[in-house]
Amino acid sequence: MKIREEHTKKILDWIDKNQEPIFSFLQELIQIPSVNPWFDPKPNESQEAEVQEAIAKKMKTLGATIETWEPDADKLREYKGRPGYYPDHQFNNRPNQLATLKGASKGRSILLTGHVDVVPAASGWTEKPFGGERKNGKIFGRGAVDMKGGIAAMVMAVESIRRSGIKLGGDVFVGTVVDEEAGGMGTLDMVAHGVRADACILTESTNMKIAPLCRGILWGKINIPGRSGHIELPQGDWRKGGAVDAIALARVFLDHFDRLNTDWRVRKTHPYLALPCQLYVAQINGGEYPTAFANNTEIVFNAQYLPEEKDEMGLGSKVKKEIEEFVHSVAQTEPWLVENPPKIEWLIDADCGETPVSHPFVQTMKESTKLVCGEPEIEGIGFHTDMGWFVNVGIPTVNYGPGTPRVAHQNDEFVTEEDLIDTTKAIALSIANWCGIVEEK
Amino acid sequence: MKAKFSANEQDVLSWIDNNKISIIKFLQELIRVPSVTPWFGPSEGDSRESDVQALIRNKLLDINADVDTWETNIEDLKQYKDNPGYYPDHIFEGRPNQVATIHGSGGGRSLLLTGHVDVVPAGAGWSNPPFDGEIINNEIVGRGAVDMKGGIAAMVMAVEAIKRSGFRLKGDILVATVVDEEAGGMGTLDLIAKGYRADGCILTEPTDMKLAPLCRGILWGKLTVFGRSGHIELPQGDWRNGGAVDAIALARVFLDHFDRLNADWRERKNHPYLPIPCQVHIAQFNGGEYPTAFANKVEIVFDAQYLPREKDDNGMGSKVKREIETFIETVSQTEEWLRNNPPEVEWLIDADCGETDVSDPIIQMAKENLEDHGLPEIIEGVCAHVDIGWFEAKNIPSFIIGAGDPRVAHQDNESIKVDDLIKLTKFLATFIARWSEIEPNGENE
Repeated sequence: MKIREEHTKKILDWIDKNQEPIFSFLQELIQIPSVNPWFDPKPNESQEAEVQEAIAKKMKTLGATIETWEPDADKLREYKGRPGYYPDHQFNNRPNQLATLKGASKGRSILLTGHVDVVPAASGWTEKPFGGERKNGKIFGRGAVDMKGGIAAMVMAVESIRRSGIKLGGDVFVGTVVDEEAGGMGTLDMVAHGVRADACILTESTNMKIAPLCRGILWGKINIPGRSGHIELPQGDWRKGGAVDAIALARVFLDHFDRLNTDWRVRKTHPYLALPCQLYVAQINGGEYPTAFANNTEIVFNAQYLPEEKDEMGLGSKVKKEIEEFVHSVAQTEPWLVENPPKIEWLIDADCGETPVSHPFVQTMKESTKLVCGEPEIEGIGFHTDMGWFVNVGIPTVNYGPGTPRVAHQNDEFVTEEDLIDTTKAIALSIANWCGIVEEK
Repeated sequence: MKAKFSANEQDVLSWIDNNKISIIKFLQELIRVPSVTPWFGPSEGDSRESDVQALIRNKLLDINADVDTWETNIEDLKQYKDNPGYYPDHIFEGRPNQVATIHGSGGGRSLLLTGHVDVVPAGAGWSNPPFDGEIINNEIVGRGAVDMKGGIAAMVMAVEAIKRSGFRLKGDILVATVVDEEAGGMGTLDLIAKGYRADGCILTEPTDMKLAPLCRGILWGKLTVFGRSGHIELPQGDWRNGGAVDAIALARVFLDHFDRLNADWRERKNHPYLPIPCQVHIAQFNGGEYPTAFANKVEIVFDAQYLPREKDDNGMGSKVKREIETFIETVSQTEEWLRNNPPEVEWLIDADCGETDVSDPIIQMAKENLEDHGLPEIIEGVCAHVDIGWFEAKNIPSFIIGAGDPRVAHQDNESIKVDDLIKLTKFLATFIARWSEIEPNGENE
């Protein structure tokens, strides 16, 4: 169903001539801070709804019909125990949105999807995190790659097809969701809402690689109990009331996690992934004041899992159990911990998915991308994307987006203008090649 | 066989036996007024040092003491800026020091009885309310029970016992109660700066009735280790090309090296009258911002102790500070990122120390007094800081003795045995009687 060369040229020409509007659309999205409420941002830094409005406004000018609705945890209760279901997440003024551009009912449909929420800016930026400034061919700001860059590219790809005067055979859906950065309830709701298509591109940043899989992500918190006591005095045996230093005990777990990671490094790999799954410690908080041994220490960790490790619900319970058993076995080495076992609280289980590389849609994307920037690499995404649910309901899904994912969640996050343009082109050609073109008579 | 106690001393000890309830009640009253040092950021209602001073003042006014209560004026202390206990940012509004003087009839040695009225925060995990002073199994429970409202109750009641038993002393007795000890000791500096002196000094911090002729200096430091955040689930590559640097992983390097430093200190930093060596102990560890990013930085708060012989010319711990700083610099040199992004050390507290030679008459008298009370004559220094340094710097021979297990200080469910409180009160009463010479009221008039 490959489109003819003249159509390819029309689309690419339009994009080349309209680079400025593409850049300014991304800038507009970055300038609306949309930090996920899970991170407790200030209210004015948490404007997911305003980002959706900006997208809706754009899609309306292209003739799309817009449907906007707020997810409701109550209505999703049947998905209890499934990916993306967090009964305590609130969605007041945090809408999902579907923009539909009808085709000529003669081709395959495609869903372009992405999330409008971002993680907090955190400290240490040299650029303004919500400024969207352009410098030396880069656009800076929180979300530049994760993933307002991808959203700008997919919206502008649709615009390039429309403005080139091309009529598509199949329908194009632009589905934009909230709450990805805290587990993916937005996408669960999008799928529960009945949104379906014959293929899906999720425009998370992939460094221009075609990513037919992602990893599942677990966030856990281990609380290691100690017993406080004056740090400058002889403490004696804890069995007789002596102190137990929870920071020293936490270090034991950190050392054992090093060992677990050595094992995972050889066991938890995938031919299309650049690095193995690991249990990384992201936060440690222990101790109350300088004169006392720490009463307890909390370790927040991030552990990844492979699509092949998913349980029957599509989640990471097998890996959770593996970690729980490991923590338990470490605790068994220490009499204090046998009597005062550490507790694990699971904060997030963000699922994953995989589309076989041999699937026709992956091949269509490969061929379309090749026309823009040469033979593309195929490499899965190390982090969670919301592709799991689309795969679960039978939609072949590929992640493909601009920028280096390494700068995601980092200070001075940026996307290059070149990447943004190339991605817009590759997505536009993929849409056209998948959905087909209705030749004018 | 000579009686252990004179008839006068026996009268005083009987008064104490007959008035145990009043002694217990006074300690309960002190505990029920929460007096957390403001340094810890307590709520206003938990930080009532001045109300504790008022309880002590009223008690001692009743036995005709002259009471001087004043608030520290930082301006007056500027000359001590390089000396122990000087913290220019500490604020003393509504936080008075106090000296109650019970004048002697003359010709005797004067004695300064001293202690601090502030306490550390309660912390989590108490099984009984920390500021109720409940009696459970013959122990008085509450924050400050041993550190050191117990010691203050005992010194005040020892003086009261002598007066109520119908005696007076030849030497002056000064009951000096200060604020701000738990955050460095500016209260005691101010007491010294105001000119209060005596021929001997007892500080009633808890020692489990061991005789302590020294304490250790204490340094609180905050080590900040810098990393660079980055998405924790992604390949990061070389930090020289923008990759992330995990500050938690780097902080663990410092913790491992501190283990090694501590092994060295364990052999080097000992004292014949101390049960444990000096160490760098990690008290707080905080790093990381959210679960998807490598930690941008880690803050490690540590507590390091130093010996009186390690004091610098100003009576403080600068030599040990320099030793720790140099160690951290050396560790940083092993890692290119750290060479380019050196960790920072901020010093939060330097609490001084002091030592009186065990051959000093005051130590010998204390030892004999312990023996007469049938208590073990154990000489053992205090491992923590107590406010003894300034008295020794002013050539006031001093020692520390107090009731209760110092290990329960700063801990959940801090408590003091009623029996121990009474023992301390008795010890102090007879020591005062001997040092400052007890005599019946009206004698020599």
